[in-house]
Amino acid sequence: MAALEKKGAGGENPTRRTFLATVFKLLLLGGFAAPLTAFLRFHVRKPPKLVTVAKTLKKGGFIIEPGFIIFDTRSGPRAISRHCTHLGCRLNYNEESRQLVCPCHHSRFDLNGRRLAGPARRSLDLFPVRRQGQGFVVSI
Amino acid sequence: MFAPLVKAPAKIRQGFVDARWGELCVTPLLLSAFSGVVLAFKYDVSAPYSSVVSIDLLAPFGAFVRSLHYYSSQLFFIFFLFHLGVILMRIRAGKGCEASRSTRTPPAGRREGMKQWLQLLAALPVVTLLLFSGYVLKMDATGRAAGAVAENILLSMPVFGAMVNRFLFAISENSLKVVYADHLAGLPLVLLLLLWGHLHRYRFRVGDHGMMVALLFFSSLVIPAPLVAEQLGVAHISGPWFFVGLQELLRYIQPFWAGIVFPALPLVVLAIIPARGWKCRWGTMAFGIWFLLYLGLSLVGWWR
Repeated sequence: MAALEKKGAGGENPTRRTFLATVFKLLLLGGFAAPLTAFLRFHVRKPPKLVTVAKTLKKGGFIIEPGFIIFDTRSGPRAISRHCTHLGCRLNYNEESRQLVCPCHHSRFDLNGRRLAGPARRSLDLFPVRRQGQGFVVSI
Repeated sequence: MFAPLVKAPAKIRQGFVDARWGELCVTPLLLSAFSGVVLAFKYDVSAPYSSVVSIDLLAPFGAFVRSLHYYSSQLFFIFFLFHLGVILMRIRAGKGCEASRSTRTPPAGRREGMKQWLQLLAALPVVTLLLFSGYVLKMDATGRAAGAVAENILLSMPVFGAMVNRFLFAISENSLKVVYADHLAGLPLVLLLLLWGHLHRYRFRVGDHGMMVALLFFSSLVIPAPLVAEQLGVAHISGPWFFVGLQELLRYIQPFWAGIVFPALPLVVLAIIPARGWKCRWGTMAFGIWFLLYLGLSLVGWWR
């Protein structure tokens, strides 16, 4: 208290002035930092890419492509992402267990893309797919 | 009768400490750099896997050059780790955790020694990244997975993750351009800057290590460098041998803690071990625990 009340030669209080100047600078910095951070953190999504798959899908079968697998289901073709939601490894399809398996950390997913086991927390992405002639067009 | 067996561990240990690992590092490093430049003439970053397969199967002596690059890089890394280990043993032997503040080494000498130690320690992640980026660049099944995992681990880091990823991997945005630029130029430049004060001080002759060169050449001729093709039914793939423990740890805890914090811990404790008193004791204990844990995780990972 005594230190705060102590005045300088010109009658000013250097401690309070310094404190207020510091607070002002911090507020100014925060005022710029907040919108800058928000801008930099925003992720501009890439537009969807259309992939043409010129292959025939057998009844109850599947087509494996690098980024997805197309399954034939009762409700029509279903395109499931092959990128594991844990750390992005490419999934393999196990025909015996009818599961998608991550060879890196052994997460498992069913044919609806639902997560069954392992360190992955999210289910797989499903891509819009439509028939085009004898093949398919998948939007990824 | 058992005297030689009892003395052997001590002799082996002394032999390990006396070996000039720092000098032995340089030959494989030079061979790796030379073979890497030769490979760069044929490697195509826009079609990485097919260019590596072409180098192996079609280019005359391509498989040999790639194997030489691979084995010399691995040997450099191993010798570098041994070099770090021996320096640490000498630091501990010279000072000990209980050494008092007054020693024969003047403060300027201790500061210079600490600076060199920290530079050597800072080179460890750079060397590891060099090896890892080379592993990713072949873009076979394991390289592709390793690149995806590394990128996602970096992205799990709060605030700076995306920025660091843009400088180191960014594979999903830029394919392998950033990784290639880092492997070819960025990381070697950083390594040179860190080790220059070290390298130009010591005299070195490649001719003194003819046996090592011959061994590397022979291994490269006989044992091809690994290349794992994509196979649809594969249930397990392993990452590089020095990250098998991390791969195992990622199964149990979140990527940020397993992939960023855990590997950074030994760097922090190794940096404080040369200090005295409680820092030295706790640092040594912490590093020992970390090392045993990582060894255990690696053994479990390899067993898979």
